[in-house]
Amino acid sequence: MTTPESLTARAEQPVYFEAGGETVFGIFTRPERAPKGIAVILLQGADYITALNRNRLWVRLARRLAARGYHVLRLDYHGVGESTGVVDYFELERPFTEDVEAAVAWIRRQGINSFAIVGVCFGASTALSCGGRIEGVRAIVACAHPVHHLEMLQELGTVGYLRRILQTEGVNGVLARSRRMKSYRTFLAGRLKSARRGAGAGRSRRVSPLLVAQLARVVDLQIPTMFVYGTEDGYHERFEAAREGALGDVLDRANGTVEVTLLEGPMHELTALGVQDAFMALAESWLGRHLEPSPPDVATGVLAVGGRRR
Amino acid sequence: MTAIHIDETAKFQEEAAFLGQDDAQIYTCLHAPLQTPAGALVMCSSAHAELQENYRSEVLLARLLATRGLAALRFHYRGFGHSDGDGSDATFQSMRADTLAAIEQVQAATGAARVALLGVRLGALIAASAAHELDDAPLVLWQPVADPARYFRDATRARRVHRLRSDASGGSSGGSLAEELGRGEPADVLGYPLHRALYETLARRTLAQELGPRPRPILLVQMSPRPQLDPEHARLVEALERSGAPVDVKLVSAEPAWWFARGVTRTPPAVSRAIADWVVARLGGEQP
Repeated sequence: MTTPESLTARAEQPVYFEAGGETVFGIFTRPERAPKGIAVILLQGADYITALNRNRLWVRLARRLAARGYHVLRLDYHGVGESTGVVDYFELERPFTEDVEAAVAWIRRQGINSFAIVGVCFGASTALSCGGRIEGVRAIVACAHPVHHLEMLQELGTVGYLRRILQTEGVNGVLARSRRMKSYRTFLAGRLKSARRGAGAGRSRRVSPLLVAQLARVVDLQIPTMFVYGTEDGYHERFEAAREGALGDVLDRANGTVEVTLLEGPMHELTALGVQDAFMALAESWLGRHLEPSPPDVATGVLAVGGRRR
Repeated sequence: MTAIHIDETAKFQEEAAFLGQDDAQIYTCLHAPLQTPAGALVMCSSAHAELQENYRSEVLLARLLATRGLAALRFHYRGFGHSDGDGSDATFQSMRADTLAAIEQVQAATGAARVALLGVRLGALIAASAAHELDDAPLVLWQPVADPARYFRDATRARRVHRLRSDASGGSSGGSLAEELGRGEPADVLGYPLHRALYETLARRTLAQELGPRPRPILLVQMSPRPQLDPEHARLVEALERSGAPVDVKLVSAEPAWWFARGVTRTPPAVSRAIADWVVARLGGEQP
C-alpha cells in the first residue's frame, strides 16, 4: 500500500474550543497511518483571512502534512470566519497568542504534546510569540514576517491605511486610537526623513523590539526557525537591513537554528499559484528535515538560504 | 464527524460537519435556533476570492437568521473551501448537485417544510438553477453575477491591474482567460486558479436563463456607491417583473472590491438586516 500525497476530508474533524471568552473554530486533520505525535498549527495573516488562507492553501497543506504523519490544526482567529468575537484591529505587536494557546490546550487533550507552528505575516508574529511561551514547540516557519509593524502600513500606503481605519472603525474609532495615530505620525515622519536622504535610505535598520525579544527567546530555546520571504515583497530587503542592528545580534548567536529562505514571487499575500506550491513543498521538506529522522529531498524552488549575518 | 457550538445567550447552535461519502465530502455548517425552526435558508457562496471576502458576512447573516427563528445552512462546493476535491473538477453541474445535497441535508436535519435559497455573486446562478427543485422557494440574489462572461472579464481586469500595481511577473499572464485555458493550464488570478471546466460550464449561461419563466419571490441586493441599480441588474429586474415575479430590491451604499479586498470591504450591517427581514417575512420566522 503506497502512502497518498494528500489526505481528504475523511481525515478531518471540525472543532470548537474556548479562547479568551470567545469560541474559536478550527479543523483538525489526523494522519491515517504512522502518526508522528507532532501537531502542526497553521496561522494565516491578518485582514480577516479565514482558516482556508488564499486559494485554500491551509487546506491543501494540512492534508499533505497529515499524509506524512502529522496532526494539523487550522483555525479562524477570534472575530474571523466562523469563530465568535470581534477584532478591533490587527496589529503586529499584539499577536493572537491566546487563540493559539487555547488551540494547543485542545490538542494536548488529544494526547499530543509536540508542536510546530507555521505562520504568514501576522500569523508569523503570532507563531514566534507562541514559540517562546508554549512548551513543546519544536519548529517554527515564519513567512513574510515584517521586521517592524509599520511595514504592514507601508504596504497599504497612507491613503490605504487611513481608509482602512475609517471603514472598519469610523471617525470615532480613529479618534479613540490615539496611540496608534501617534505611531503612524512617527511612521510618516520616518518616511519623510528617508525620502530626504534619497535612494538607499529604505535600508532602515528599524526593527520591532518585540520581534527581537521573540526571536531571542526562540533562539535561547534552540527551536529551529525558518523565515521565508518572497522576491516581490520588499520585506526580505528590510529584514536583511535590520540584520545590521539588534536583529543581527540575535541571529549571530542562533548557531544555525535560524534560517532565511527566499522564494520567487509574492510570499506576503500569496497572489501567485507558483509561490503557493513552492511554499508548500518548502514547508513540507523543512519540517521533515527538522522533525523527522530521515527526510526525503524535495525540490522547492528555493533561491537562497542563509543563517548568518552578511 | 461533527462539532457543535451552542450560544446560550443568543439561543442558537452551530453544527459543523462534512457531508457525503469517502473522498467526495462537502463541508457544511448548520446554524439553527434552539427551538424548531420555522424554515430554512440554504446559502450558495461565490467562488475564488469572493468566497474568502464574503465569508464573515455570510456567517454573521446565518447567525442573525438563527436568532430570528430560522435555520441557515452554509456549505462549500467540492473543489472549494474545506470541501474535498480539486478546483479543476468543479463545474456548474457539480456546484448545483452540491446545493441540492445541502437542501436535502437542511430538510433532514431541521424538518423545515419551507426552504429559501440565497446566492452570492456567482452563487446566484447556482441558487437560481437549484431553486427549480423547490417550487416557489423564495430566492435572495446578493450582488448577483447576471452574466458569467462579465465575471471572467472582471477577473482578467483584476490581474492586469494587479500586475500594474505590483509589477509582478509570476503567474499572471496578460492574455485572455480563454486563450490561457485553451492551453490546458488553470488561469492564475491573484493566486486563485480559474479552471477550464468551470469556465466552460458557466460561460454561456446567464442568470435570467437560470431563473427561468416560473415566478417566485425574489430579493435583489446590490451594494454600490451609486444610488441606482447597475444596468445589468436593472435589466434583470425588468425581465423578472415582465414574467410576473415579485421582485424586491435593496440598494446599499458600499464599494465592494471583490478581487482586491484586504479586509477593508466589510459588508454593511444593513445588508444582513434587509436579507433577514425579507426571509423571515416569507418563511415565517419569529423572534424567540
